[in-house]
Order: sequence, then structure tokens, then C-alpha cells
Amino acid sequence: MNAGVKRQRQNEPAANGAAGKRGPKAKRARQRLLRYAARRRFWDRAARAVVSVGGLGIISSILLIFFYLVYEVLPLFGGADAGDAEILPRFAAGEVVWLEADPGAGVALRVDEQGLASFYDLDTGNLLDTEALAAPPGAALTAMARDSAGSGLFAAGFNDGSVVVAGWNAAPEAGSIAPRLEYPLGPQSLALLDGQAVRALGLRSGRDAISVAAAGDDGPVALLEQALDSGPLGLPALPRTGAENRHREFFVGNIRPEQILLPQDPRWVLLLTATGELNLLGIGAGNQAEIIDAAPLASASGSLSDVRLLAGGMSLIAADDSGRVTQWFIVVEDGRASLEPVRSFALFGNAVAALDVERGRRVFAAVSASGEIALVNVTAETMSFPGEWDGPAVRTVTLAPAGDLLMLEDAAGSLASWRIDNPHPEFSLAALWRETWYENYPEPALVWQTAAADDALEPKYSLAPLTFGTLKAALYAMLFAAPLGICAAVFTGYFMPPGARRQIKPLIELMEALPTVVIGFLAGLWLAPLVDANLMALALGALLLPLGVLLASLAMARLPERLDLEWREGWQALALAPVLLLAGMLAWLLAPGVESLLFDGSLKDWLLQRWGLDYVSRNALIVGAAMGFAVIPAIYSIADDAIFTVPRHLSNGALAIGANRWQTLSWLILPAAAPGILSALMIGFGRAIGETMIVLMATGNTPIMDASLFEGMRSLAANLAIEIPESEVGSSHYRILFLASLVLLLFTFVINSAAELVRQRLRRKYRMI
Amino acid sequence: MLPLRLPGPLRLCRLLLLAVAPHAAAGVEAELGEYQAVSGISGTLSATGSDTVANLMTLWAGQFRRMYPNVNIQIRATGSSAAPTALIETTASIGLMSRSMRRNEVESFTARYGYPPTPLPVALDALAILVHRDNPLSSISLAEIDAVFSETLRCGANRRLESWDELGLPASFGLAGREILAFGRNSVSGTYGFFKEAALCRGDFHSGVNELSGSGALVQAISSARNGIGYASIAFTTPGVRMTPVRWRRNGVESTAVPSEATADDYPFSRYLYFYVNQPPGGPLPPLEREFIRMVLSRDGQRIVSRSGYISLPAALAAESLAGIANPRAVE
Repeated sequence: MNAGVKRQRQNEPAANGAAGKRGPKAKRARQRLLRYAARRRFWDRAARAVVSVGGLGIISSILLIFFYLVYEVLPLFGGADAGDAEILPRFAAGEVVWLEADPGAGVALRVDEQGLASFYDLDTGNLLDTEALAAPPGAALTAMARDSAGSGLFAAGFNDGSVVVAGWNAAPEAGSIAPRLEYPLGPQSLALLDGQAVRALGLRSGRDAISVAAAGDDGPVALLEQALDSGPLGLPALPRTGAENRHREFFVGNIRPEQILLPQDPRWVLLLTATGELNLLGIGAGNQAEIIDAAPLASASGSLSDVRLLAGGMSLIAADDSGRVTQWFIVVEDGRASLEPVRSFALFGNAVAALDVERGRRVFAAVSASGEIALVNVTAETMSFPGEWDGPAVRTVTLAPAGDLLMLEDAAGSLASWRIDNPHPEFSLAALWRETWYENYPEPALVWQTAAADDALEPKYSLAPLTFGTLKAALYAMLFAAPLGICAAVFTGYFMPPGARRQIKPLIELMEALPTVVIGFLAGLWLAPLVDANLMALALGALLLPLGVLLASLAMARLPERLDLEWREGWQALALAPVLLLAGMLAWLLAPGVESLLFDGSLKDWLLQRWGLDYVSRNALIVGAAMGFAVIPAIYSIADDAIFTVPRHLSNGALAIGANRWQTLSWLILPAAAPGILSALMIGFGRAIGETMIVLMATGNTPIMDASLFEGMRSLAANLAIEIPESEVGSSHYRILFLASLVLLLFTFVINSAAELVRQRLRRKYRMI
Repeated sequence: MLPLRLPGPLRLCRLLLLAVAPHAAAGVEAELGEYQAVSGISGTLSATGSDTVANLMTLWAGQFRRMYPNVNIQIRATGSSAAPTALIETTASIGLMSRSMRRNEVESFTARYGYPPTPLPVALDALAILVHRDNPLSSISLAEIDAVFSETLRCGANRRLESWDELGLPASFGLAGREILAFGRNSVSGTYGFFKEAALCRGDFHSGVNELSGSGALVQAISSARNGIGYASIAFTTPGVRMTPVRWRRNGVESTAVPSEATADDYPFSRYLYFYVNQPPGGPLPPLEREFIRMVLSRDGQRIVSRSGYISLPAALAAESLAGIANPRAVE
């Protein structure tokens, strides 16, 4: 304002000079005009600046949101990365039988064939401490096994048939690093086999017990279950399941297990023979056991090089000497269990030399005979080859529990370690959309399930059911809202006198002021049970109400003209009110009779038996109605404006040349208003896609892919609302949720762009109006 | 206690409750000490997490505010999974959890502070298997529960149970052939995680299990669905639903139990409810948190627990937790 005033003053002398010769009156008028022009110019510029700042602000904030989403999602696409290899000096003599690393504490553990555990500093390679495994006197180590639950425990078997369960703890104590072995069941060894050397060994830890299985050269497989006194956190176990100490023996015929794997399901024991045949031993409730299935793990040409249970202890991976790693698990279908090869990874051109698994994620590391290193997530089938070892042949490899360090020992006894950065192996674009065969599932499926009780969850990230649910909810909502919204708009915009419209329109628009959380709440807690109880009446009503309206119009057309004139124009609809009421009452009263007459007393049962449709009380019908209710005002308001702004003289002209009102409406008004109506529909659809609270509260949020009107759904938006608070910032889950929001944004973007394109075409087509 | 004007019959009920409850629960709580208020406590206490615990937290907060009017207590009930994040980001000083922390949650806390968070059990709870009040189901076994709720069948069943006749319900109930409508909590809830571990043997929920955002909504949904089944903390049960006795093998013997105070350790789905706090090893808790936890673990605090439908903590356990708070070294 000040700037404008100043400029105006500067302009004054020039104006005075030019106007000096004319009369003072004209001079004053000219000055006034100039001042006015300057003020106008200023306001024009100011307005332009404000508007462009606002517009640019909106565009840039939308871009900012978009780029922020992309920025959060991008790290998902980076593969695994390994730092440079750190070669540690040759450790110690003796054959390595066990190698583990804990990068958090900076300590590595190596056990040799004598049962001597050595702890090393991961950074310097210095020997920190050595400690002998608590072996029975004079016994030699013959077998070792790791815990299938990924607790870090391991079992050591000896040639006298005894077994020790141990773990190691490298957490600093009293400020100094003091790695040590720990024995959860006490240092005394457990006698499993009677004097026979332990040949094969398996270990499983559970909530309240530790189980060890062992087999010797011949004889039965021994399974020992040892109860733990306290539960997690050292609190008294709750509930006290009273797991007993049990020693059981199972005779397995002529199967001579070379390796025993105890999956995290007490019903199964897996026995692997020297020929690479995997036997599934099923243990029944009454302790009877039988071989249920057997499968050769190695392909016909190759032989097995290593077998491991993956994190979670429910599936195993088998590597063979053709460079191929195959995942297997137990599938129970129709009451029958079988071993199924699920997926296979051709990793190398030569044999797999060593294998190890992460403890939380379904990731394994494999090293080939020529030193290539591969990191694979089996669920998402992501493979990366972060590095290569060019030293002597690799003897053993270990992945740190969290997968952030990989360490190997070669045949010459030297150690190499790599820091691994592999934050998002569980993600692949393909896995988001295709059917994946998850552990224990009877068949490949599209599943969204991300949270679990423990870390060993196999996260299931399939956006397909969520996307499907979003579209399903929006489409059913539109099915409900579009006819009602447009018909209401046609009625108020064309038939109703403007006076009445001015009162009715704000009333309908007021519906928009109702918070969606309230609508969702009512839909979930009031409407769903109501519809559940009165489904027949509702179905009958859907039939009788339109029928009633038709009959009423027919009757009104037959009325003597004298009576017809009594109606004030636009208020005829009121005459329908009693008709609707009557039809509704009739539906209500007839429902029980019709239900027992036509549907054997239960419409729901009939639907199930006749059509296979099951009725779930929180279903698409409820969401359609509730979300339709929320979307109607948006559709109505824009469509009504579009119809109302079609010039009256056009319709008057049409009526004057003999068209009736119906013809005028369908051949003139609707085409002319079509662009507006279409954008109303699209805005409604966009709103339905993004709607969160109603879907969240009115459905059961079931991530299923079923288009049925009587089944529920889980939408992208509701899923975001549910899961964002729990997801750890920066985790794969968190980033995949951002990806889901990007998909949602893309949806509305595509829909709105398409709507705009169609709208412009329509507008061109009907431009003459 | 409540500054509410209740209608006559309800008021009578409340009076009766007040009169009976302290005696009924006296067995457990009598061994605990009374809480003695100390001076100089003020400030803001914020707690985030499980809605099951937040229920109790509100009552404890009321009790605490009566002793220390200068204290401001903020409670956010989003779900147990929100607690670790809130503790790490220091947006809350007490994490409310209805399950214990998962390993990766403890790890991310430890990565930030160098020591793990301290868990303090504050009450016992049990999940009841709920059906509609008219449902005549006499009992349900662990394998059947898994077969109803899970996709993965890890607890011994060989096939999923999808209709009520497969559960042995008489046709006269009118659900013959109807699908079992399973209700559960959403994944942010600790109840969801606990049920997954205890009832599904760490398996996966079937994707047709309806997920509701609160235990109250779940109970309400079952009470209006005759073919419904679900799980919720015993404190949320209403007359509209019925607790189904659970059959399981304990010590090798078949037993059947509904959750109650008496069966707290003889029921498969009982659990601790926790406070998680950020207490450096050897270091003290801030006075406000310390006093609050002392109050919760006192006779008054535990009386609130049993009065609101949960199960109060065994005295020995409460004493142990108290010792840990007063003298951190004693725990180790």
C-alpha cells in the first residue's frame, strides 16, 4: 500500500505539468483518475502475486508430498551392500566345527573339533578368551546342532551318547567384555543315547521347554523334552503349562539319520539321511510316531552340500553341488501332511560350499566353491551378490543374528568378515502383487499380514488384497451414492422451484458436515447388526420401494387433471412420502412370511446354499451404504450446480416446441450438464477411495479378495491408519506402508486425470450449448 | 468414588460392588503394603501403549491425582506396538504393554540407549474365548481354536473349521452350515500378538478374521452376531457374550477352564500386563515415575486391578518389582 502511495506522489508533478494549461476542474478530475489507475494497478499486481503464490504453493506442496513419499520408498529398491573384507589373522589350530559372530558386542565364537570355544575380538582379531565346552570326562565331540527358534542356543553331542545345551553371552558385564558360555539346562550333560555316539542332533527351544533329539548309528531316535522353570524375562512362566521332562524314543526302521531338524512344531521331526533323503516323522498325541512322507532333497544329478532350517524354524533350505538352493516345508492339506519343494534358487555355476541363515528374517547367505557370496530372501525371492572371496576354498560361513555381518573361514584357517547392509530384503515389487507360497500355507496366496508375536514372523506384504478392497469399497459406495446423488441433483436442479431448492440444497450439503468417524461408528455398531437381523426386510424394501414409486406415478397420471393442478410445482414428491412409508411398512410386515415361504425360513442360509454366498455382518453392503452416505453430498452438490446452470431458455425452448419434461431432461439437460455430472462422480469416487474412518470402523478390515456384497474388505487407507502407529520408523514395513500410500495417491491421480480428460472432451462436444 | 449420578438400581449395584470387592480380593492384596504418599512430587507423566492397560491406567491416574493434585497424567491408548516407539522417542516415560517386547523392539531400544528397557509386570490378565450369549458351545479345545482362527494350523489341527456344525453345535441353535464369524483385534494391539503366540502357536491369522480396533468394539460385535466368536481380555466381557471354557492338557491331564482369578495360572491364555520404563542400569527412576509405580504395586493400586475385572499381581512378584524400582541393583 505504501509503495503504491509513493508512486502516486511521484507521478503528481508530471501530471500537474501536463494538466496545467487546462482548467483547475479538469486537472483535479485527471488527478483523481490517475490516482485511481495507480491504485487499480497496485491491487491488480497484489492480487496476482497472492494468487500465484497460493497456486504455486499448492502445486509445490503436492509435489513435496509426492517427492517425500518417493524419498521414503526409494531405499526399498537398494539391494544388499557389503563393505570391504576384513581379513583377521589366522585364529587357531584345529578344525572349525562352529562359527558365530555377534557384531553388537564385537565378538566372534569359534568352536573346534576338540570342543574348545575361543572368543575373538571382531575388530582386531585378538583372542579374548577360551573356554572348553562342559563335556563329560573323556568324551569327544561328535555332532552339533543349532536351535531352530533362533535363540542362539546350540547343542553339542558326544561319543558317549550325552548332549549339552549351551549358549554364549558376549554382553559386557561390569563394563568389560567378558564373553562366556552359558548352560540354560545346567552344565551337566543329558544322557540321550545309551552309550552310543551321537551321530545326528537337533535342538528346539520353546516358550516353556527345550527339546533335544539325537540318533546314533542304529537304534531309535531319542527325543528329550526339558521344562524351563521361568518364562521370558525371568518372570514365573504364565500360564504354567506344566511342561514335563520327558524322554521318548521313536523307532524309525532302517532310516539312519545323518542330521536331525526339529521344526517349531512339536508334531514333526525331520530326519535327513546320508543319501539326501528327508523323512518326515510325525508324532501323534499318544506318542506314537510314524514316517509320514519322504522326499529326496538333492536333484537326481547332484548331491547335497548343506541343509538348514530357516528363521522361524518352519521351513528348510537345501543346497546342492550344482549351485542350487531349494526351500522345502511341510504343507498340511485336507488333513494330510507332505513335504513340498516350494521354490528354488539357481545361484551359482558351481557347488554351494557353505550356507547360513539369519535369525529373524528369511534370509540366507550362500558361498560357492569359487568364493561368490549370495544373500537371498526366500519369501520375496530377492537375490543379491554383494561380494566375492578370492582366497582358498571356503569351509564354513556364518551370518550374524541380525544379518549385519558375514564371516567365513577358509581351508587355510583364515577368517574374513564383511559388514553387510541389507535393510530391505523382504521387499520386491513383484512380490507385492503376485501370489506367494508362504510357510505353512496350503497353497500360494495373496496375503497381507505384517505383525506377529515374535520376530520370526514371515511378513506377508501383498498389496493386491488391499488394492482390491479399496476399489471394492469405493465401487459399492458409488453404486449406492451415484444414482441417489444424481437423481437428487436432477430433481432439485431441474424440477424443483428455485425457492425450494435454496432450502433443500444446504440441507443435503449439511450431510457432509457429519464427521466420517461418526458415520463409521454408526455403521459398525448400529447399522451392521440392524441389517444383519433384518436382511429380508431390507431386500424386500429394495424391491417394493421402487415398485411403489412406479405404481404411485401411474396412479397420479390417471388422476383427473383438476386434482393434478392442486400440486404446487416441484412439491409433487411430497405425495410420494406416504407411498414410500407404506412400501417400507409392507416390506417389514411381509419379510417373515416371504422368508419362510421362499427361502426356507432364512435368507442367509438360502444365499449360502444356493449361491455359496456367506453373510458376514460387517460387509460391503454396510460400507457401501455408509460411505455412500458420506459421498452423496459431494456428488449431489456439484451435479446439482451443473444441472441448474444449464440455461433455462434452452429447456423452455424445448418445452415450447413440444418436448415433454422427460425428453427435455434426457436429451437436453443431462447432455449439457454431463461434464459437471461426470466430475461430480469422479470427485465422489476419489473421495470414496481415500475414505478411511468409515471403512476402518464399519468393516472387519479383512484383507480378502472376494467381490461378494456380503463379505468385508480392508482398504489401503484403513490399513495405513491401523498400521502406521506400530511400524518402526525406517523398517521395511514402514516403507512399504509409504509405498501403499503412493499407490493410493496414484489411484486418485489417475482417476482425476481421466475424469478431467473425459470432461474436456464432453465439454467440446456440447460446446454449442 | 465416581462423581457420577447414576440411576437408582445402578447406584445400588455400585454400592454393593464397593462393599463386596475389597473382601473378595483381600486374599491377594492384603499381603501388599499400603501406599504412603511422599512430598515434592509434581510434573507430567505420559504413558502410551496398550488399550487394555490404558483402561487400568486411567483408574490409577485418578487415584494418583487424588494424592498429588499437581501431577498431570497423559495417557495415549493406541496399542502395545506403539509403546516401544514412544519410549525410544521419549514421547512417553511409561510404555503400556499387554505383551512382552519382541526381540527387535528391545534391540532398537538398546541401540539407542545402550541398555534394555525395564519390564515391570503390573497386573495379570487372561483372554477369554467369547461367543454370543445364546451360543450353546460347551467347550473348545486349543487345536479347535487354532483351526477357527488360523490359516497355518500349527497347534495340532489338520483342517480349518469353517462352520459351526464342525464345532459340534446342535442344529437346533440355527447356525447349521453357517460360517463361523471370527473376530479379533487389529495388529497394533498386544492382544493380537499374544493370541498369535499363545493360541495360534505363532502361526498366521486366517484372512477372514475381522479385525476391530478395540476390545469393547469386539465384544459389542460378538454380542450382536449369533455366529460370532472372538477373544478379549476378561475385563471387557459383558452380559451379551459368554466365555467358552477352554480344554487343554496341563501336566498331561485334560482340564477345562474359564479365565478367572482362581485360574490365573491354570488357563492357557493368561498373561502379564506390563509397564516398560527407561531405567539406566544402576540408575534411579525419576521420582514421579517411581512413586506412580509404587502406588500401582501397592494394595490400593492392585485393588483397582481386581475391581476393574483384571487379576491382581501375586504379592511376591509385586514386592520383587518394587525392590527393583527402589534399588535397581537388586534385580540383577
